[in-house]
Amino acid sequence: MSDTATPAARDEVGPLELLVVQPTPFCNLDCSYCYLPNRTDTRRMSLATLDHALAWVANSGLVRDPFSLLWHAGEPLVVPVAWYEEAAELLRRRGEHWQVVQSFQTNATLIDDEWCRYFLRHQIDVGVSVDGPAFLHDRHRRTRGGKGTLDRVLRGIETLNANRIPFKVITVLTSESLDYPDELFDFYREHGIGSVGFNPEEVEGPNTASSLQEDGTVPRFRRFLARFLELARSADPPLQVREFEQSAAALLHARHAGPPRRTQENRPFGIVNIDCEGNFSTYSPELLGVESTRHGPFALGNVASDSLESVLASPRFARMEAEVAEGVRMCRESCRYFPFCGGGPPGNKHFENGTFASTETLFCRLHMKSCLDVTADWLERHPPAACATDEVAT
Amino acid sequence: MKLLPGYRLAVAPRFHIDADWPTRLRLGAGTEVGDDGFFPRGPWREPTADELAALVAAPPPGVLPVIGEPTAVPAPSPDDHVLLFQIPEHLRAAWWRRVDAAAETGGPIPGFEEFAAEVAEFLAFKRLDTAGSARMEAVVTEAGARSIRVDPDTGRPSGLGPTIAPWLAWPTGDRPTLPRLHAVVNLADEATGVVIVNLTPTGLAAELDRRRLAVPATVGESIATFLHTCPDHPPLRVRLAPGEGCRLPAGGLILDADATGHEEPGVMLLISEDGRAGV
Repeated sequence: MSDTATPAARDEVGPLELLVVQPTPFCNLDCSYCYLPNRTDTRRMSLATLDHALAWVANSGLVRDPFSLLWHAGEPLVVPVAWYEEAAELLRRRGEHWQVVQSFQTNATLIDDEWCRYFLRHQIDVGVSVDGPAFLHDRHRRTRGGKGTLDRVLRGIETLNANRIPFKVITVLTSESLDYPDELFDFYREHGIGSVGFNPEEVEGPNTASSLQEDGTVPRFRRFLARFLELARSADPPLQVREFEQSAAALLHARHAGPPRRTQENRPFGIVNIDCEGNFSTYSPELLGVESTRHGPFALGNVASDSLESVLASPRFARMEAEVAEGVRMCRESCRYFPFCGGGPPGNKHFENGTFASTETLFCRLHMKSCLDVTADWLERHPPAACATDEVAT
Repeated sequence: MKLLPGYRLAVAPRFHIDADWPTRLRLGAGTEVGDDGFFPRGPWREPTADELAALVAAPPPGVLPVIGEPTAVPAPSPDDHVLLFQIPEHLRAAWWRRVDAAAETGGPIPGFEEFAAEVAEFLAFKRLDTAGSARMEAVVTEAGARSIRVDPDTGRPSGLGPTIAPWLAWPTGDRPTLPRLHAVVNLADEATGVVIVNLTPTGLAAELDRRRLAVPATVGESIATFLHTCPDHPPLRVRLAPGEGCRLPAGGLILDADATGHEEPGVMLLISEDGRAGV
């Protein structure tokens, strides 16, 4: 599919790579930079709605390759294990032939042995959100009463470690974090964390400003990343850094491949996001539950009533897709990083620039350009003999 | 004698340390002559509120501001303050791995230069840079020893001394780069203490002038004169937890460290500029 052609049929969209399902919008924490607009809402997805959702996915024709099912967009562990046991049974029935990896992105405060048994039984990938030592983590990740949460998060991490459940960590980087790469490195080592991804604090949803928007952030971010990468790669065993692995893979892939196709996030229905009522959207997960003056709600329909065909035929989707495609075209024409990136995330473009038909965002400057530059620099200084290319290219 | 105003202490920018100054700082009764130098003497006591206000630059940074909150207090100038910092645990662990390797072979500590380079890289990242000519040495002091400074001729503890070269002409004026001790870091597993007389060179000169004493010829003489004439001026003991260190002001001050109360030998990393200076 070209950048700007409007997909008319379902075989021109997808394939599904990531299915984000929101068991509940509720979160037991109240982090200062959270993008979720309804995190006090205690509704829970009914099993009937989940069954509709899985049937919708099965009937959509989007499942053509293995994909990931991420339980997120709220704290997924506030919904009890019993619900997920029934969900697993529905998934087994509706997706008998699917190759699907389930994952949870959790704040870890509710993890106990029962959850660990569930994770093991269903081979769940676990991602934990933790921002480092208390002076960084507790600044932003707080309860509604304003208390820090690191102690509870670490108890969850200890439980995962005690049950020998591998997990990855996502750390949100704010402006103050950029001064503390060594302290973050020590924190990860101390708590048995072997894999980390850095999300820069983004302007998304209700989080209308980021500490990283201040002048001078880009060189600080690069300095931070270069320092952290040096520590992580020289550790024994090395600490896996998602940004390094993704950037290295992009750099190595770009040498061998032609022009990149659109990404999971800016290709229609590469991602499907389904909220607890069965409303679904595509593109960036952060768009679900949000609306704009031009497009109205970004939710395109409901799994109980709207087929993929009907959505693809709707003028609203056509307008949305045309704008996203135009944004990708603009990225392709104006950005020398496009061969490694494939175009910026529509969510960031909408929240920062007010339109999908735009180019650079804070996310681009930090998470794409800076990471690619720092990784390229590292790879140049550590020629292949000293660098396990099979490891970085995964 | 009351504590004279001088350098203040602060947590270095880009470090997050629970300074807890009332617990960390102790004032001695004065100094005394012993062996081949001047040594602090007790009893040691907690500073009064007024003394604490004179010794500590500003409220410690504590909690950093978030968006929309007022910004933190301005960063303290590195040349007007004694700045508390901390090397990360992975660096201190790297030191002890090298010590363990040396213990097995009975030889010198392997890879000390690489370790020193890693410390310098860390300090450079934190913008507590040492000069290009920085020199590092690890000083091991017997448990219970009252000074980490040793007279090279007699091998005996030499006590309090300047962090800039003692042979420099006095007054030092505004020379931008003096050969000096830049920083000290506690590498040991036990907390230790550095003892300082926190007077600035200007403050020291003013006190000597106020007492109508002859102007000394060198930095070393000026300090000896002050300590002789003001034996009751309270020295300040600053507790350093494992990995913690002090960045010292460029103008120099009077300093020593000790291993009193230790169960294990003290290990202090000394970072100097322009060759060995001071300690």
